[in-house]
Amino acid sequence: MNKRTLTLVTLLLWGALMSWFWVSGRIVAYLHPQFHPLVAAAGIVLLLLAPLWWWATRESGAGCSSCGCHHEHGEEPRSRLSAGAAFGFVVLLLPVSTAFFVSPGQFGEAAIMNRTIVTSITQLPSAVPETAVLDEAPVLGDADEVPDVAQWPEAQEEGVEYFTRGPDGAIQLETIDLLFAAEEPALREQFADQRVSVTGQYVPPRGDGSARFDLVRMFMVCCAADARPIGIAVSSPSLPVAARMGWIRVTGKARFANDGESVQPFLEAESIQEVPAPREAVLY
Amino acid sequence: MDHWFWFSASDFAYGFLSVVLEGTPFILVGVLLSGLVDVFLPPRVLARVLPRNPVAGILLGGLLGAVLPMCECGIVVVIRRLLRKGLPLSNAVAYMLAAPIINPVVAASTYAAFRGQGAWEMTLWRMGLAFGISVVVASIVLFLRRGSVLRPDLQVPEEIADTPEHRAPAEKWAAVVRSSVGDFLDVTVYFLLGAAVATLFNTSVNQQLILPLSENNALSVAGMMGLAALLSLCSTSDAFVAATFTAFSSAAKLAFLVFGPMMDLKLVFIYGLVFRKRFIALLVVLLFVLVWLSCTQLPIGNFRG
Repeated sequence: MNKRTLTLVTLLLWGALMSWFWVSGRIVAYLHPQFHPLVAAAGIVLLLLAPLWWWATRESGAGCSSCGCHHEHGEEPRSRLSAGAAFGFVVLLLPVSTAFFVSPGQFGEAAIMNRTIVTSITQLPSAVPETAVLDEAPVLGDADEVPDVAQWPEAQEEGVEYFTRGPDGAIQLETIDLLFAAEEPALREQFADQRVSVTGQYVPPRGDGSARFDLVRMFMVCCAADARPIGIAVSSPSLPVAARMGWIRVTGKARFANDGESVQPFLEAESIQEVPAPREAVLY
Repeated sequence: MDHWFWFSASDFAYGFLSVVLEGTPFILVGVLLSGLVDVFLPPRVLARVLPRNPVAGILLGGLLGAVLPMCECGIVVVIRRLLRKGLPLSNAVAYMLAAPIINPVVAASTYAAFRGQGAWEMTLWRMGLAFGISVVVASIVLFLRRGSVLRPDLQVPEEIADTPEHRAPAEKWAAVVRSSVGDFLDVTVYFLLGAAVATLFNTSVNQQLILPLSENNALSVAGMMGLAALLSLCSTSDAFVAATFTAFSSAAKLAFLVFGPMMDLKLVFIYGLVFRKRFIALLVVLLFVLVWLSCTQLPIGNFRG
């Protein structure tokens, strides 16, 4: 196979791969929504470049003398492959195709532990809860600058009722909502001792024999490379039977522990249920 | 902390793919621009518009990102093409180092990420320091021989006669495609190698390792620069990550934001498309020393509000 054909294969494979991520919706696990159109556009451009490349190199003489792409001697599109060019194509084709099949679309326990679980909203200056009760809220950047919840009309008028309740009456929350509430006294007061239901991934306790585990949800700013695990502790009479990093829904009482320096939210579990991964497993 | 390294193939594959998906559109923009420059920008036009004074050229190069914004992944292929067209080396280096930071998108993302932590101060310091360091490095490059900096295939700019202006329009567009695709293959190989190394660190190394450094200013600045190099984040989003290191001083976070887009693991590979290995090593040391000195010696203070 000469360089011209391998280049065509590379462009088609990359174009198909990027288009597939977008068309299949698999992209939501990898990138923030603002990048999705860019991936779609890149896939289309690469797929268009493939036939254009074939056309642009159609003449047998089209090579170094006219293409302006400054190949090394012997690297014209129709020439046989040198060892360097062959290595280049292996790098272009093999890792991406392998990763495409191997990648589970979410981080496992190793990456979560290497990034350390975020347990305070002050470690996420750009975080705004998805549930939108705090849409009007100034973004928290520092524990000393916690804004007054009175600035947010919805929260004041409707309180916890602003959140959706499940069939069992439990307030449906994300892990990030509880971290937010921990920093906000008025909101904390409204959530404390309420029955809430939170969905996340199960991170088992690490070696100390306790039944207190973590419930985490990834928060992404741009791509998975910058995603951070947002977690809350869950105390439970027994550990869930779910797989490590499996998706569970914990229903129980929201509590806030104050050690004098910071306030940490935790859940006292009443029931734990295995659930399928949400369509958008990552919070943005 | 009970471990410092924990590798998982599936985590690696997931992180690697996300970096590839994020970076590829920007590389494509770079190579398409590069193809257009190759075919439609005659060297004599470039020679005519550039300032004859080398210092003015460096200053212009440092500010060019404000009107021609490029991310660090896409810019290398563009400056490679511009160097072939006769852009002076020092101007190219100033543009290459400054443009991924001094551009409207990065200014806006830095401001947004640091709301509540001195957003204006951080944004202005980031832009100002990036400009200053780019100009200083480019001024040093001014005194280096082109042959000692650039790869052999880039050392001689194209002759004016080589410009394919006589071609038919269809042939010119065919040349744009050949040039863009050639560049795409070249830069993507380096990008993939860099992304793989960066992802290995990003997903496998325990990031708590650097936390003890936060207690010492000099070490915290160096530690955050090292982290920026290992994580190899895009300059449009790195501010959101830097802002989360609340235990670190503003100076350390500033060092992260200035050093990362100029030099990281991924860029070490991509710079290999243009520069000799010895120059890349010099660039690593120079940038490290300049950013570290600036962030430890300048009166940066701790930004609030």
